[in-house]
This record gives sequence, structure tokens and C-alpha cells, in this order.
Amino acid sequence: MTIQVLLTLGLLLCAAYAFLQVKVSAFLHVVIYTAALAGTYFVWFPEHTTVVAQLLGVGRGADLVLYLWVVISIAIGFNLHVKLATESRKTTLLARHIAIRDAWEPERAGTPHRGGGGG
Amino acid sequence: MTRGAARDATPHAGRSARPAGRAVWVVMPAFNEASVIGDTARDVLAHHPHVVVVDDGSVDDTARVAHEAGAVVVRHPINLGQGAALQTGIEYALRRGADLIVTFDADGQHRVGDIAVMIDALERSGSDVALGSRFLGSAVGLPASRRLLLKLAIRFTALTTGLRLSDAHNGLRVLTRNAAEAIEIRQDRMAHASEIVHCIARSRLRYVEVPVTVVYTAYSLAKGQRFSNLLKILGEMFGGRMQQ
Repeated sequence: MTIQVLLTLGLLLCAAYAFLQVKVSAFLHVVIYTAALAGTYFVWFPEHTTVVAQLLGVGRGADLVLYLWVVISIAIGFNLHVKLATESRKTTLLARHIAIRDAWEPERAGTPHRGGGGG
Repeated sequence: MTRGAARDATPHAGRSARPAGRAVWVVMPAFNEASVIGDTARDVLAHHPHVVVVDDGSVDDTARVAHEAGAVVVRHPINLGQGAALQTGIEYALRRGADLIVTFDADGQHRVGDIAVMIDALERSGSDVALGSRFLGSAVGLPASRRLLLKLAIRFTALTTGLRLSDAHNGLRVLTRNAAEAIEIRQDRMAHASEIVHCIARSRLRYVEVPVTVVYTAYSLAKGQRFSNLLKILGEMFGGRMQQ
């Protein structure tokens, strides 16, 4: 009973957190709410996971949960990788802009230069 | 000596405008190279007046030493990697009106005299890119393990790009302005060398391989590629492909 209450609270927190994220797409909102709702249901009626598992051709409900967990983890990992790469690209472009804007010209007599065209 | 251009009897149109009195800019990426960058920059400046050192977030005096040597210095506020530094230097040179862009390692392993030879080969062959080749020229003090690593890199580059080069990872290159504009290095770290070859193949740029001399010192060996980096480079390339 205690673990069921804790898991339900955790899932509700996930849904609330998603609700507060205005930048998250509507599609992802629906996915998170559905997952939280389904998760809460199966927390209270775990034996029903076996029914769903057998419908999908998996023997036990526990196996189905494990498979889903693996797939979701990989999807999250890939998504994070893409996001990190995007942020890294932005950092590179920003650093490049600063570097070119603030180019340090050699002190040659009579011909002062400005840095490469203002970035 | 000549690859690509010599094999290709029908040059690709519109990629080889050759203005007279061209401006040559030498791009030198540098990360913590304070002990060698001054000598390397002065050597190059004695023959080519436009040198831009890209200080890739060094924590030593690389920027000050390069500036005192007479080079233009552009400084990344953080360390991004050699590929990013090269792209920054190339973009700076393009904005300054470069007609030809030379990439040159900061650790002093290249010979300045090879730059003129490469420019000459580029002009004679009508190519867009001249690639230095230590295996057509000479590699002084190259350890057997490093030779094996470079040969593996050549095989890998041939497999992934279809270009059969004799040396795929030589830091000494000459690019025409058109080639520099066609090549965008997005691999910030060490996978950029393969990426440049990939861009040459994709953009159908004409290239010539030129024999050059690479002199290995204890310093340059310590800074160069190791076997332990090989998997990292493969990972960077795979990650980069996925994002494109």
C-alpha cells in the first residue's frame, strides 16, 4: 500500500511538472499525461499488466514493463543527445562570433585594423 | 602526386575563379602552445604576411606570444576543439578577403617552404584544394604505432568518402576561397579531418595531393593523435552524421 501511494504521488508530480512546462509540445504533454495515468492505473492493478502483455504477445506483465522501460530510456537518451548537440552547436557559434568580433590585430605601424567585419 | 584533378578530365564548372595577386591567409589553430607558437608564427610570417592564430581557449600565454610574434589572434572564450578553431580561422580569413587559405599546425611539425610548393601545385593543377601528404613526401621521426594509426585513418576515410588519399589527416592544406566557402567544419573536435575530406567528396571539389615533410618532435608527438582517441573520433563522426 505504501509503495503504491508513493508511486502514485511520483507520477502525479511528473504530470504536474509537465503541465508547468510551457515549452513542451502539445504532443509530448499528451504522452506524459497518458503515461502518468496508465502508470497510476497499473500501480493499483498490477495484475492487469499481464492481460495487456498477453494481448501484445509478451508472457508476463513484468516483462512488458521492463521492455517499455528500456525503449523509453533509449528514446530519452537519444533526445538528450540531440538536445545537447544542439546546445553545443549554439555555444560554438557564439564563441566563434565573439572570437571574430574581438580579433586582436598585430601592432603594425600606420595600419590599424578592425576585427573581421564585426562578426 | 596529383589526384582527383588529374583523374578528372572534365573539371566541375564554376569553382575555380583565380584572381590575380591573391591574398594568402595562414590559419593556425592553437591550444596551450605558448612554448612553440611564437617561433612557428614568426617562421610563417617571414614568408606570408597574413597569419591568424586561433587560440582555442588556452590557459597559458598562447594568445600573447602569438600576438607579439605579429599574428592576428582570435580567441575562443572556451576550449571548443581543433575543428572549431579551424572553422573560426577560416571564417575570419574569408571576412578579411582571403583568396587562398592555408591550414597549418601550430606545433611546428610542418615546413613553411611547403606552403609555396602547395600553392604552386594548386595553381598548376587547377584544383580547389591542395592536401599535404607526408606519405608522398617524408615523415621524419614518425613512430611505427603512429604510422599504423594514420594508415587505418586513410582506410577509414576511403571507406566513408570514396576518396583514396595517401594521407587523410595532414594539417597542412590549401583551400581556394570557393573551397573554403563550400567546406563547413561542424565537427568541433578531432573528427574534423575526416569531415573535410567528406566535404571535398560531397561538394565534388577538385583536389591535389602534394608531397610535404612532417617533422615529429617529442612535443608534437605528445600533442598528436593516439590510439586511445580513435574510438572517440569514430563516436564523434557517428554522432555528427546522426545530427545532419
